[in-house]
Amino acid sequence: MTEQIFRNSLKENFYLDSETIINLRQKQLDNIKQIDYPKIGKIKLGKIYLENLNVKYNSEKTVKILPRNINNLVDDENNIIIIKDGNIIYNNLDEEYTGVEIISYFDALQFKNENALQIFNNNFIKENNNKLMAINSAYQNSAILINIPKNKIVKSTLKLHIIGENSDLVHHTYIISGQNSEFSIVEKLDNLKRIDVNYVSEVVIEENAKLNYIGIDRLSEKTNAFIERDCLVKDNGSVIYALGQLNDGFTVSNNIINLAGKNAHCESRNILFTDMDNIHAVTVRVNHLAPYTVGTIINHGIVKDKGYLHVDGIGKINQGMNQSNSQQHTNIINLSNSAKVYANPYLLIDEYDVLAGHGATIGKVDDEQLYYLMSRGLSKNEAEKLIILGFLYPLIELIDSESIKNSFIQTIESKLSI
Amino acid sequence: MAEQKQNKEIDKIVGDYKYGFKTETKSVFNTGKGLNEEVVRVISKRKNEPEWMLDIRLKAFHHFANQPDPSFGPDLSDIDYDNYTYYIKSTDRSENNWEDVPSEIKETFDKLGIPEAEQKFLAGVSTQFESEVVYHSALKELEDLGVIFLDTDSALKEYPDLFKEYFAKSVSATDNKFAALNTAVWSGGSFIYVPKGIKVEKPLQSYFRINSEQMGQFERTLIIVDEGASVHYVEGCTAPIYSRDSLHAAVVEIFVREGGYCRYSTVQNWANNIINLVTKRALVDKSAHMEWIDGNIGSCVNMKYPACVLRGEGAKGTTVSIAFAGEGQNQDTGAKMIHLAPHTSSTIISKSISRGGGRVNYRGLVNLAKNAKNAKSHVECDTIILDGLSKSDTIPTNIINNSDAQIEHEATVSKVSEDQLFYLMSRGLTESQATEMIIMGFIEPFAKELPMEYAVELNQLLKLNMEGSIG
Repeated sequence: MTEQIFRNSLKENFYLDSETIINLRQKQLDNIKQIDYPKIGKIKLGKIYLENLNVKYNSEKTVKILPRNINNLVDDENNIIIIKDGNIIYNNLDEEYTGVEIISYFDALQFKNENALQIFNNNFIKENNNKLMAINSAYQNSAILINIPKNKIVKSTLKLHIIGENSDLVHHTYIISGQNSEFSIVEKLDNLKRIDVNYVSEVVIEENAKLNYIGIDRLSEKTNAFIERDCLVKDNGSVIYALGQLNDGFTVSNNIINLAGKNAHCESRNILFTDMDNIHAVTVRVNHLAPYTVGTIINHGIVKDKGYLHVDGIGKINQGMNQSNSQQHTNIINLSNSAKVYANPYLLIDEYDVLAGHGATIGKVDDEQLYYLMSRGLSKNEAEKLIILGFLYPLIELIDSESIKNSFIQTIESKLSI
Repeated sequence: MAEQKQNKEIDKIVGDYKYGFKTETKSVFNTGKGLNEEVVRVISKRKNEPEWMLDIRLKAFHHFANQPDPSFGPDLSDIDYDNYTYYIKSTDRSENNWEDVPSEIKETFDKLGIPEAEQKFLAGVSTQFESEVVYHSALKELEDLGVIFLDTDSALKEYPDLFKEYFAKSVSATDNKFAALNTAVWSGGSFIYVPKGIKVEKPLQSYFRINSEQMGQFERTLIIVDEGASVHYVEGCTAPIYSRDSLHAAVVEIFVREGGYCRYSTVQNWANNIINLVTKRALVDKSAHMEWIDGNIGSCVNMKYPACVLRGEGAKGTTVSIAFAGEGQNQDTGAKMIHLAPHTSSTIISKSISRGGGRVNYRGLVNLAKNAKNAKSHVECDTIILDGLSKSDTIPTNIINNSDAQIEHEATVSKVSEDQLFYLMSRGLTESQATEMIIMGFIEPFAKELPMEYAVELNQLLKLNMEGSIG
């Protein structure tokens, strides 16, 4: 392990934790050495120092009016929650949200909310299968729980902003969608200073529940990030799982959806943008663990400059999971001669009574489309912009927040400098 | 359950390898079991090889000895390299006259059904029996054209310069573990040289066989198609059944020079106890075209990924393959296309079928390098899984390094279409007839590329393999 972590002793840094939790953290810390990095293509994660973290608890006060640097990231909208360095500093939820439990780890400690603490403590106890997950368990300094009770239907979308500033951010989000509930959430990950980020989210969709979960990652330059989003869908559950990955730094993004109940349904739509000399390694994996499950993966990627994008799309159907359907589309537009793109759509099929398919294309902006638009009087730049924005549509149409949608499009536009 | 039981019963009847007979032959010379530097030296000496060949063999042997098994694909840790005989010579010299071939060996061929009469149709027959070529005949026609069609050992003696120029230049001695093994102990195989501008109309054909129990076979094939020339080479494999595993590690090197055309067709049908680890690679020059037509039906473990290195502008590579995995089989096959030059194009069509607990994997690579401007690659992989015991993975790797190139990849995995079944059955076919018909249609893109007698044999084999797949 790195010096920094040893220098900051656990007890000092995580002064809010009970003795038991500190011991559990210590145990995870010992584990880290024994576990390997996740394996992603030819990328050597050991060289990137995703484990070199400087972590501590930060305390922040709740504010009525947002400071300017945050206000730049968050437009005036309803139903916003901002969690900065582990503290919920702002929330303006409607009445509609009554009954939905939204609580940070610090608040749970402070108000001795035993139910919530039990869920939070899972992270310190659980077995991890890769080094980066273990680091998350050992060093977590920010966590939030969103617990949607049974039969609760919330029409408006929750906008959750997760912001890191004062130390490296090791965050854990828990979302539990109770039976028959309906909920949507747009989650945005930002940083104000140059920090490293280790982010894990765990989502459980109970029977018959529906969830729209859109994650937008917008971390700044030189920020190394490990982001893992895991989702478990039970009987008749349905999830729309989307990812907008616009980080300016090195990023490992693992997205795993387990369809564990009959008739579980997921649609994973991901937009990936890699530019400058960034390395982005993205895995989207759908495991069919029950019969009659349907999983769709759509990956749209744009690569520019010296970007290096590695996308693994994996559809895995276990034996006995009959009548399952696993579909995958991966399309990458490569705008540069110095970029490198790996697009690997895998199908791992152990059952015969299934449908499975994947398609992958890598190429430039379609010549015929360009030609058509230019023949209508658009300049080449305008035409390219239109085509690329159309390419982003599968995700953009899902973002139910004007401000996040606009900033997403703006980011892409500025990145394309068009 | 009833279905499975029935399947098993039928497997008992048809599962026995069709060509599972063995002829007693007396080996004239063999190196005994196991592999070490001394064995490599003995092989080379026995063959009276030049010094440089021994050097390559030794270099390859040392690489092989230090190389771990590949990190992907089937588990090969069970292979005991000390349990194989690396060189056997059953008759002392190569025959080129059918009458001189020993009658015992002839018998084996008769059982296999290599028809004597067909030789007149086929341009040349060179039949490998154990490690050395025992029968070899090339029609005068070919000689007149200047085409060289020899077994690889004779070619080394008769055309040493040509041989040295090309040997191990496509698949180097240290390319991978099994190519290294082959380079160290290679013996037999075919050597073809087609001179500039010569178009060989009839397919050249060769039959390979493994006969002695637990004997590895390491043939080396070298094909050179000079500028503007064209050739179609057909390789077929059948082998008797054995109680112990047998190892087959071949290397095929092909050079297609500017404007040339080469088609290499194989129906690999080793007995179900053979481990088949083959390296096949073609270097394709400007405006040349390489086609791999690759069928994989036999062997218990098969790792084979025919590759085209498209290194000249406008070069073209095609792979059409099928793989069939039945009970106890692991077919890990695929194709590689490496585009190094502008305007290159490639197509991969792969059809896979698994049944009875077989595993059939597609593992492919398409790499469009920086210079491959306007390169295009199209990949299609379709798999049919016939029952609940069988498995299939599709593992493609697509790499692109420039903005003017394009890869398209499509794959599907499914069972036999119920709509198609229903339609055919409504027309009066039984379920198994209907399934058979659908499968035959499924592999049509492959079968139609084969010479007629091969296509017929393939259909027969598949029908035999498919029997009892519907309960």
